Amino acid sequence: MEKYLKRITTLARYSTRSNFLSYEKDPAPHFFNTEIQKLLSSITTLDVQKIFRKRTVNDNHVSYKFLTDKQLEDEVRNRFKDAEKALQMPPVLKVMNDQPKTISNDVALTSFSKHSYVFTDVTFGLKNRDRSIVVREPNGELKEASYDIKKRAWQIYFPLNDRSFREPKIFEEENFKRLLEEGQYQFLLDRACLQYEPDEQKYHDITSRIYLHIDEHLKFESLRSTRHFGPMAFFFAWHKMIDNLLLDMIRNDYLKNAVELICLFYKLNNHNEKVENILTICAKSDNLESRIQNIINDLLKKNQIVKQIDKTDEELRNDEEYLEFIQSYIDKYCLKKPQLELTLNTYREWHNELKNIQLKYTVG
Amino acid sequence: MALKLLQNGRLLTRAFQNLHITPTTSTIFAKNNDLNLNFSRNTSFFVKLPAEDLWKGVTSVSNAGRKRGRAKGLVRRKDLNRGQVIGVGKANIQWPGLSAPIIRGRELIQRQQLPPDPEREAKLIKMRDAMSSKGYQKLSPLDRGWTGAKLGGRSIGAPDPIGDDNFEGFDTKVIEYKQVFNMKGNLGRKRRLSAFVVTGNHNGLAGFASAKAVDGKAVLRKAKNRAAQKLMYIELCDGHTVFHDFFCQFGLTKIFVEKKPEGFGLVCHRAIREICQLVGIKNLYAKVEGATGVQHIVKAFFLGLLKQKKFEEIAESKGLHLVEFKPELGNFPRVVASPKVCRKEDDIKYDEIMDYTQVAMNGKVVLKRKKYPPFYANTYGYHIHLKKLEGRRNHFKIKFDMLKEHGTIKSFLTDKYPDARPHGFILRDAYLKKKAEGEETSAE
Amino acid sequence: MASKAFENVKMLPRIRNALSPASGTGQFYERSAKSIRLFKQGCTNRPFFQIVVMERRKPHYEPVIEQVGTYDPMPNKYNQIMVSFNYERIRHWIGHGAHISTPVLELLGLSGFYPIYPKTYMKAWRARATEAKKETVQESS
Repeated sequence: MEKYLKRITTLARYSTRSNFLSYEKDPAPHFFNTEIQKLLSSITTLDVQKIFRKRTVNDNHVSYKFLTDKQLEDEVRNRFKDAEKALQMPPVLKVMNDQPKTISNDVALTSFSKHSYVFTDVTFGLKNRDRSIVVREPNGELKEASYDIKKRAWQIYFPLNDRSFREPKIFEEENFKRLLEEGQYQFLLDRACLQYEPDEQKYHDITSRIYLHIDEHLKFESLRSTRHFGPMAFFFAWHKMIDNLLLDMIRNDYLKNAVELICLFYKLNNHNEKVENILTICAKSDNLESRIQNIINDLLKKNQIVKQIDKTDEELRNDEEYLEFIQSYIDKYCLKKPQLELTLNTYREWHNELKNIQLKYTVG
Repeated sequence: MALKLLQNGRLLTRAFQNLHITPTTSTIFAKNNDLNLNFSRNTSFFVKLPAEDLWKGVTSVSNAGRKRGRAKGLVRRKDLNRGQVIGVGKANIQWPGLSAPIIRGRELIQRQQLPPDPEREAKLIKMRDAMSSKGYQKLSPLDRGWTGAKLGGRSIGAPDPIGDDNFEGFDTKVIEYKQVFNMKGNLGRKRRLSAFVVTGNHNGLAGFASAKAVDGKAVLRKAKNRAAQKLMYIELCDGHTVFHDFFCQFGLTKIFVEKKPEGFGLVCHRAIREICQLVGIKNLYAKVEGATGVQHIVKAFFLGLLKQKKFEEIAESKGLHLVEFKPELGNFPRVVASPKVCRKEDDIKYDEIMDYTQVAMNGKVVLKRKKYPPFYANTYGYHIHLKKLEGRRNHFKIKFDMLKEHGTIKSFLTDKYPDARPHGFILRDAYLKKKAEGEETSAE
Repeated sequence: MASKAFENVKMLPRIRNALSPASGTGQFYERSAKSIRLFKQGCTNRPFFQIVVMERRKPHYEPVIEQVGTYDPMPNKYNQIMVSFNYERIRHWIGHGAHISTPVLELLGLSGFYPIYPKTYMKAWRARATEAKKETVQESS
C-alpha cells in the first residue's frame, strides 16, 4: 500500500499538473499495436445485455419478421458485429504539439486593420485535419491558425451536431465533481469524446481524472463492456496502477481478463516475461462463438439448462494456469501485495470447492 | 285608505309629469304637511296562505302537461323555515329559558344582547341554496365522463357480486345513456332510459350489454350485471397492445386498428378508448369509418379483438420463426413464436407474402390515401412566404442559445444602447432592480 | 456542371422572387462574362457577405450560379473576422475566365492565395499615418 501511494505521488510530482497522470512518451504506436488491441478488446468483454439495454429512441415502432433458422443466426451474428462497432475504442494519442508556423510576414501591411482575419478552406471532401486555416494578424503576419481557432472554424463550417462552441458546463469544477460522485462515468466520457479531440490536453485531463476516480472507488463495473474500458485499462497498465482493477477482476471471476491485463502491463513496460504460453491458452478459451451459439439456442428454446452455473473441466484447468500466472505477478511487481494475496486465496478456496463438487457429481 | 292615497298620488305625479315637474308623492305631501308617510302593505297573500298552498301554486302542472314533459324543469319544494330556531334571530339576544339556561353554576343569567353574529345570515342562505336542485352536483375531474354532468364515459363501479364471485378488479363504464320513447295505446308516449355499458377487469376480461328501465339507477344496474354475464377473454400482446393491425366491421361501421409501441397511448374514438382501458390495452390507433353509431363501434371493435391471430397461430401457419425487433433494444432479435418444424430458405416461394402486417390481415393492405399538397402550394405568394421564412429559420435556436449564455436576449448594440432589447426584458430588468432596491431598503 | 439556357424566359420573374438554393443554381450561359464578387445579405446594422460566382451583368438580386465562400465583416468576440473560401471552385472559375471584384481580390490577397492587392497597402499606410498623427497630437498636448 505504501509503495502504491509512493508511486502515485512521485508520478504526480513529475507530471506538469497536480491532479492526474499524463503520458510522457507517445502512447499511440503502443495503443494501435494489433496484439495490444486484441488484449484490450478482450479485457473490455462483450456483454450483450449491457450493450443492447433499453434506451430511448425517436421511433420505437416494433417490427416483425419471418425468419428461417439460418436467417435468425445471421441476424444474431449481425447484432454481434454491431456490438463490436459500438465497442470501438476512442484512441489514446499523445497531446498535440500546437506550434503554428508563420507562412509570410509583410511589414508593409502593419495596421491594415484592427482585427485579425481567419481564412478557412471550405473545399468539399477534405478531412478537417487537412484543411488549411490561416490567420492574417493586424501586424501583417500570415500564419497557420492555432488549434483553438481551427476547432472553432471546424465547428462553424462543418459542425458536429452536439459539440458546443463554449466549454460545456458539465466540465466546470462543481458539476464535474458532482457527476463523478454520482458515478456518471460513461456519460462524462461520452461527452468528453464528443467535445474534444483525443489529442487535446483537456481531453487527457478529463479522462485521467475520471479513471483515477474510478480506481479510487473501485467502480470498474460501470465501464465494463463499454468503449471506454479499453483506454482505461491501457491507462492503468501504462501508469503501473493495475492492482485495483486486478482485484475487481479476480473478485468477479474474470481471471482470463486479469491475465490479459498483466500481459498488457508487461508489454507496455517492457518487462521480459514469458507471456506467449498463457496467451495461447487465453486465445483457445475464447468463447465468443459458443456464446453466440448459446444465444441462438436460447432464442430457439433449444437450451435445456437455464444457466450454466458450474464450469467445465477445461475451464477449471485453465483457471489453475491463470492463478499461477497471477501469483507470479503478485510476487514480482505487485504494489498492493497483501490485498491481492488475500483475494487470490479466497478465489483459490472457491475454486477448490467447485472442483470437489464437480468430482462428487461425476463420481456419484 | 292607503290604497286610495296611492292612487291619487299616481294621478298627481302624472299631472306633474305633464307639467314637466317630477316630484315624488312623498315629497309633495312631506313638503306641504310635514308628514313622513311611508306607503306599505302590512298583509298580502304571502302571509295569508299556508306554505303548502303557495308551493302548489308555483309547482303544479296539469296531467296533460306532464305527458308533454312540462314537469321537467319544475321548482322543487323547499322548507324555507329550515335553519331557523325560536329564540335565535337577527338581533343576537340571549333568552334564558329559551335559548340559554336559567342558572349557570350559581349565577342567574339575565336577558342580554350579545354582539351580532355576522355569519348567521350567510349560513341560512347557504343552507337554502343547497336545498335547490338548480346547480348540479360538482364532480371532480377524475370522476367526470366525456362531458360535464352527462353519464357518457362515467364509471359506475363493479358489477354486483354473484355468489362467490365478487368481480374484484372490475369496473364498468357507461358508453351510451339516453331516453327512448315508445308510443303506447293507452298512455301515448312512454319514456324509458336505455344504457349501453362495457365492463372489464383491466386485464383481458371484458363484456358489453345494453338494458332499458324507467329509472336511471335501475337501468345502470341492469346493464352492468348483464354485461358481467357476457364476459369475453381477450389476449394482449406484451400486456399493452394488440397482436397486429386489423380491420373489423359490424354493419356499416368499419374500424381500422393499428398496433402501436409503448408510450404511444390510445389515439382512438372515445368509446374504443374506454374499452381498451377496461381490457388493458394501453397503446393503440383506431380509425372509425362509415356509420358511427356507438353501439356498432363497440361491437365491431370486440369482433376485431376476438378475431386476432396470436403469434403461435401465425408462426405455425407460415412455418417460420416469428421474430420481434425493437429499436429501443438495438433491434436485437427476439423469437416470439416458433413452428414445430421450421422451413428452409429454398422452401419459401418467390411470391409469398413475408410482411407480418399483410399476413395478419390475410394478404390485404390498408389503402393509405395519398396526401396532396395544400391548394396554395403552387402560388406565387407562397413562395415569397417561404423565402421570408428562411430569414427566421434559425431564430428560435439563437434565442435559446442566447438565453443560455447571457440570460437575456441582446444584440451587439445592446451594450451601447441599453434599450435595444425586446421590451419584455427591459421591463423584467427594471422590476428586478426595483425588487433588489426594495430588499436593500427593508434590510436597512 | 452542364450549361443550360433558360428554357422558358417567362419563368424569370418567378425565379427571381422564389427561393433559390443557397449554394447556387448552377445555371448559366456558356459564353457569358462571369464574376466572383461579394453578395450582401444579413439585416439592418448587420451585414454579411457571401462570396459568389455570378454572371457579371446580372442584377444583384438574381439567383447566383454558385456560392464559393463567406465573409463576415463584423469581428467576433476574439476580434477575428471569419472568411471562408472554396479554393477548389474559385480555381475552377478563374480557369473559366471569371472576373474577380476588388474586395474579393483584397481578401484573397490577405489569405495568401493571391498576391496582396495594392489597395491593402494603401489602407495600411494611411492607418499608420493617422495613428502617428494622433500620437504627435497627444504628445504635444
